[in-house]
Amino acid sequence: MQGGAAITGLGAISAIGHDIPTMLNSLRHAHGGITRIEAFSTEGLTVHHAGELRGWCATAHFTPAVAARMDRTAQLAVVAARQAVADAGLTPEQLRSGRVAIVFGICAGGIGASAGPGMLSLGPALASGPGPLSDADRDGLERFRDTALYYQTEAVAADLGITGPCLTISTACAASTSALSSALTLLRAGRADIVVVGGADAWSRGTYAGFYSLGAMAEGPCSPFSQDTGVTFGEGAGCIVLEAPEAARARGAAVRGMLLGCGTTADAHHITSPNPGGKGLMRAMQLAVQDAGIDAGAVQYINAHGTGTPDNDVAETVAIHRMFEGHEPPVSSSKSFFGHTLGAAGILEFIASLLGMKAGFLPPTLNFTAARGGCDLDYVPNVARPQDMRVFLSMSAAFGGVNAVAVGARDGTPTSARDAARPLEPIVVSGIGIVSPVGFGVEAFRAALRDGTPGAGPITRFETEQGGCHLAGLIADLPARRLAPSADTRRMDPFTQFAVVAATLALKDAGLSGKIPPEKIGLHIAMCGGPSGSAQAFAAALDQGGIAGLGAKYFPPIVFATVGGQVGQCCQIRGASFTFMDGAGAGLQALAHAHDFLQQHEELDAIVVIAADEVAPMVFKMQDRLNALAQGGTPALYDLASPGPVPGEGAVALVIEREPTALARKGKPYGRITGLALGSEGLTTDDTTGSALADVASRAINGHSGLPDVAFGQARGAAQQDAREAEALRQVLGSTVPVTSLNGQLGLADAASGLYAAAAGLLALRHGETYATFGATTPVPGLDIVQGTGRTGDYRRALVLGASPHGNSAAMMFEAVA
Amino acid sequence: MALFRTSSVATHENKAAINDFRDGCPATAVYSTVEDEYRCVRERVGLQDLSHYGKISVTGDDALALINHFIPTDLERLPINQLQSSFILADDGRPVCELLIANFGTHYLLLTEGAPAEDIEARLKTAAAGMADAAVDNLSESLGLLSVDGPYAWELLKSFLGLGIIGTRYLEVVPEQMIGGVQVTLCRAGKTGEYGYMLLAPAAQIVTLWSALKTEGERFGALPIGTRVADLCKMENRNVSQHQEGAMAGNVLELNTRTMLGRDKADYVGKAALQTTIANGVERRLVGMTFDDALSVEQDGMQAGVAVNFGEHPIGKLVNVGYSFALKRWIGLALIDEAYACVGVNYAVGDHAVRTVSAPFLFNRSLTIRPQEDSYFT
Repeated sequence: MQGGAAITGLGAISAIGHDIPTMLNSLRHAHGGITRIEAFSTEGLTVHHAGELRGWCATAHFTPAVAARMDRTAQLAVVAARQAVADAGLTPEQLRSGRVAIVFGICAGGIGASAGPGMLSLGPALASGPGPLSDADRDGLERFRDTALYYQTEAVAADLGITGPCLTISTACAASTSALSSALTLLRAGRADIVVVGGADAWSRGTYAGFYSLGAMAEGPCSPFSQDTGVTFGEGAGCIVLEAPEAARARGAAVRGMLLGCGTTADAHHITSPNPGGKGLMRAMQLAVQDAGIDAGAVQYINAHGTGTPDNDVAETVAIHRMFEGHEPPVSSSKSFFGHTLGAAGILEFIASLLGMKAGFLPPTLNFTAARGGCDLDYVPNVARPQDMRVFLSMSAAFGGVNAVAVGARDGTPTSARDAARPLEPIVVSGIGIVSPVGFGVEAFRAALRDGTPGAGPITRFETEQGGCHLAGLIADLPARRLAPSADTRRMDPFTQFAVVAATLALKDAGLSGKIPPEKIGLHIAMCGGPSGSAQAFAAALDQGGIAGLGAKYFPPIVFATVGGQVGQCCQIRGASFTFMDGAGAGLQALAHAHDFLQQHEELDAIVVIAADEVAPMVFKMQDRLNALAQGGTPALYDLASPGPVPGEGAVALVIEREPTALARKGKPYGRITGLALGSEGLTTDDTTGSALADVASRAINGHSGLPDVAFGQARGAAQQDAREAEALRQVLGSTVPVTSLNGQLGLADAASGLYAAAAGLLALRHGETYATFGATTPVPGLDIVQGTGRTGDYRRALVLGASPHGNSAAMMFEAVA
Repeated sequence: MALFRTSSVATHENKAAINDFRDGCPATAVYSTVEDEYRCVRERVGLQDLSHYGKISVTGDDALALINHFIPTDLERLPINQLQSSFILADDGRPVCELLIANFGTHYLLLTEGAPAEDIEARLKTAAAGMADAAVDNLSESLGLLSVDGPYAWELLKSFLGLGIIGTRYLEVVPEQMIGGVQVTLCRAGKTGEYGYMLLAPAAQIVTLWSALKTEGERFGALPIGTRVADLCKMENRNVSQHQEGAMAGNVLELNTRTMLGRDKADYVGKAALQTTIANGVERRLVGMTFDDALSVEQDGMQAGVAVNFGEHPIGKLVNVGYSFALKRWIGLALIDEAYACVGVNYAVGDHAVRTVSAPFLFNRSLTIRPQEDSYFT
C-alpha cells in the first residue's frame, strides 16, 4: 500500500457516548459530557469538572472476574476496539492470522485500583518481605505492575486474539494521532494487512494532580479559544480499523472514510510548552497534506488540539495562519465535549471529525463566549454547522513538543499518487551511543564486552536487605556534562540524562553533530518503565503535600514524551518524534519502526533511535517481591535452573540513515538492516514452544542467503523465557550458529536490551568478534552458546532478537556494509 | 591592513554623528540623548548599527577544529542554525574579543566584537595555514549587521516577518528572511537582556534595511542607539564588554562570565593559562556594585580605573561605570581581590560609598512580556 488507508471500522467510548451512534448524536446536537467530578473528592480545590464516563458498567462488557481485575484504561480500550473490529466485520481467524497489527496511543496508562498513583499504596507489600506474599499484597503489586502502558495495548491484543505487530505509543497528548501515523507506516511497509489503531486513557486522581500542579486546568468546563482559559480532562477510548483500500473493497468491507496521510514533527523548544510561533505544528500540517497527496486548499475543516490553555490555543492559531495564509478553514475543538482524554484525544477527535464529515456538519466548540486575544479564527462556536466536507485535519500537540497531524477524507477523494516507483533505499546504522554499566561510549562498551567486565554488581544505591535480589547493572558516575556539553543535564532525572548522553554520543559517532539540519532528523525513543525515579518522587510528593501542595516540578518528567522533548532540545532534533513503550522488545520495535518510517519519509535524512531504562527502588522491590528477579544468586542464562534475572539500566542510541546518504557524506556505517519482523502473542505467559518467536526470527531472516553468522538473543536468566527463546533459536538456527546474550553481563535493561544486542551485533560485523554469554555455565543443549570467552570470525550477518515476557517480539537481521 | 572600515549607516544618519570608533570602524556614541536612547531599549525598541562587528567566515573540513583551537567553549555539538557565545583568548588567557559563532551547516560565521576584525582574521589565517582544509574569509566589509533590541523588538520584526518571529528561540538563526525588500539572516541574540535580534544583510543593502526598520519603528517610538547606551545595557545585564572590563581582565576567568568553559576539550589557545589559574585560584573577580543613590546623573569623575577601597585598603579597581536610568543610580563593575569579592558588602570608590550586588542589576521588562498575548499597542 502506498497512499492512504481505508477506514473500515469505528469504535468510541467517552463522556458523550459509549458507542459511535451516541457520540454522533451528541456532536450533532451539541450535548457536552463535561460534568462535576465524581471519581474522587475535589473539596478544597478549584477544579471540579471533568469528562468522566457516566453509566459505565464494566460487567456489561467483561466477566466479573475480568471486570474486577483488568485496569480501567484497558477496559475502555478493549470496548472501543471490540466496537471497531465488529464494525469492520473482522473474523477471529483474520485477527489471529498474524497479518493484523495493533497500535494504541496511551499517555497516562493504567490507573490501578485506587484511581491514583498506586505506587505509595505498595509500601506495606514491599515492606512485608522476605517471605511469601499475602494474596492481597500480591494482588496489589500485580495491579500496579499492570498499570504499565503497554499492558493496556496487550490486553486489547489478548482480548481480540491479535498476533501481528503490537505497538504502544506514548507521545503524551498526541499519542493516538502518532499511532495513526504508525499504523500507516506498518501498512505501507507491508508489516500488516490490517491495523487496529486507537488510543485510551482513564481519568485518575494522579492525572488530575499533575495538571493541577501546573495550574493548567480550567475552573469550569473548558472553552478552547474563548475567554476563559484552562484544560478540562476526560477519559475514554477510540479505535478505528485501517486497511488497504483495495483489500477492503475486495473483502466487501464498508469504507467509512480514509486516512490519507499524517505528519509528525517536534518543536525542540520546551519541555511542556509549544513553540509560540507554531513552527513545528505548521510543519506537521505541511507534511501531513504532502503525505496525503492533497493541496492545503483542499482542507475544509480542522479539528484542533484546542486544549484551552493560552499557550496552546494561540500557538495553534498562529500555526494555522502560517499554514493557510489567509485561507484558513473553520476550526473547532472537540475537547469542549469530552475533555482532554490524553492518549485517546487524537483518535476521538479524528473520529468526531469523521462522523461530522459523514453526517454533513462541522463539530462545534462548546462553551464559547468570545474569542480570546491572539485567537482570531472561525471556531464554529457552540452549534454544529451544516456543511459538506470532504477533507479535514485532526491536530495534536503534546508535552515534549510533539506535533502530529492526520488527514481524514471521504472515500474517493482525489489525491496525487505517491511515487510508487521510488525504490526504498537500504537503511544503515551509522552511529552508536552507549551509556551502560560497563562503560560510556561505543569503544568503552566494546572493550568491556571483549574483556568480560562485569556490569551487574551489589546494589549500593538503595537498600535491598529485606528482599531476595541484591544485584543490578547500575550506572555510576555518569559524567553527563562532559559527554553532552551542549545539554544542561543538571535538572534532568537520571533516565533522561542516560537518553540525552546516548543520543549525543551516537550523533558524534555518526559524524552528524552539528552537520544535519534539525528538521531533517527524527527521534524514536523506546522505554519500559520510563523515568521510574521521577514517578516515585511524584508519588511521594503527592502523598506528602496532597493535590493542592504538589509542586509543579514533579509532573512533567513523568510524562514520557518529555524525555524525547529534552533529547530533542539538547540535540536539536525537530523531525518526527515517537515514544514506544514495551518490555524487552521495545528497543528493537522502535528500531524496526524507525527503519520503515525513514524509508517512507523523504523529508528525513536520519533518525536517532534510543532505548533507555532506569532501576528505581520501588519498581525494583515490586519485581523482587513478585519473584521476577534472581532470588539469592546470579542469573544463569539459557539454564532451566536459573534463579531469575537481575535488572539493568542505561541507554543505547543508534543513528540510522539511508545507505546512499550515509556513504555520500563519507559516513562509516556499522551495518545494514536487511530484514525485520514483529509479532505478538497477546499477554501470553505460558508458552514454552517458542513458535511465535521462531516465526518472527524466520521472517527476519527470510530472503537472505542463508543463516546468520552470529545471533544475539535476550536470554536473561528467567528460566521459562530463556527456554522459549532457546527452543525458537534451535528451530530456526540449529546448533551451529554462535548465540550470545548480554543480559548476564549488563543486567536486563528492559527496553535497552534489544539495542544493546543490536549494538553488539553491529560491532561483531565491524570487528569480526563476538562476545561471551555471562552465566551460561550449564545451558540447555542444542545451541552453540558462546561461553567463557568471546570468539573471532568472519561475521557478515547478525541476527538480533528482542522479546518481552508476554510474547511481544521483534527480530532484525544486520549485514556488514562492504 | 585596513584600519578603518566603512559604516554606511552612520554616514547615512549624519556624518557629524560619527563620534566614536569601535574595532577600527567609525561608530556613533550617541545619536540623540543617552536617556532617550536608553528608554528605547528598556521600554520600546532600539536600533543599532553593528558595522564594527567582525564577520568572518570559516569553511572546510577543518573549520570546526580551527575555531575550536581559539575558543574555550566546545563548538563540536553546535547544531545547524544555532549560535554559540564565546571568546577568543590570548595565550595568557586574556579575552581578545567577544564572539558569537553561527553554524550554517556549510560554514561557520564568527561575529566578533572587541578587536579589529583584521586582527582576528590574521590569527585564524595563521593557524589555518597549518591545517589541510580550513579557509578564512573576512566578510566584514561585504556583510552588514544591525540589531533590534527592546521589549517590543519582536513586534517590530513581526510587522515584516509575521507571527513566526515569536517562536524564534534564543540563539537561533533563521536564514532567508525578507525585510523591506532585503534578504536577511535573523539571529535571535542580543546583549541588552531584552528581546534582541541581529540582522545580517549585504552591506550594500544595509541602509535600505535600516531605513525600513526605522520607518516601521516609528510606530513603536524606536530610535537609533549608539555605543554608549549599548555598553550601559550590557553592563546592567552583566554581559561582558570587551571594550571595558574585558580589556582590563588578567584572564577570562576573572570576568565571571556565564560562558561554559570546556574543561575536557582538547588543547586551545589559553588553555594552559586557564588551567594554571584554576589550579592556583583566581586572584580577582568581577563584581557588580551600586553607588549611593544621592549621586545625580551629572556627577563628575565617575570613570573606570579608580581604586575600590575597603576602609583604607585598596582591594581592586573600577573597570566599568554608568548611570542606570532604570535604577536611578550609578552602577559599576570592579575587579576585586578574590577574598573581598562577595555581594552585599559596603566598599568605597573614591569618596563614594558602594555596595556590591549580584548580577544582573536589572529585571528586564522583556521578562514580563508574552508575545502571544502582549503588544506595544495595548
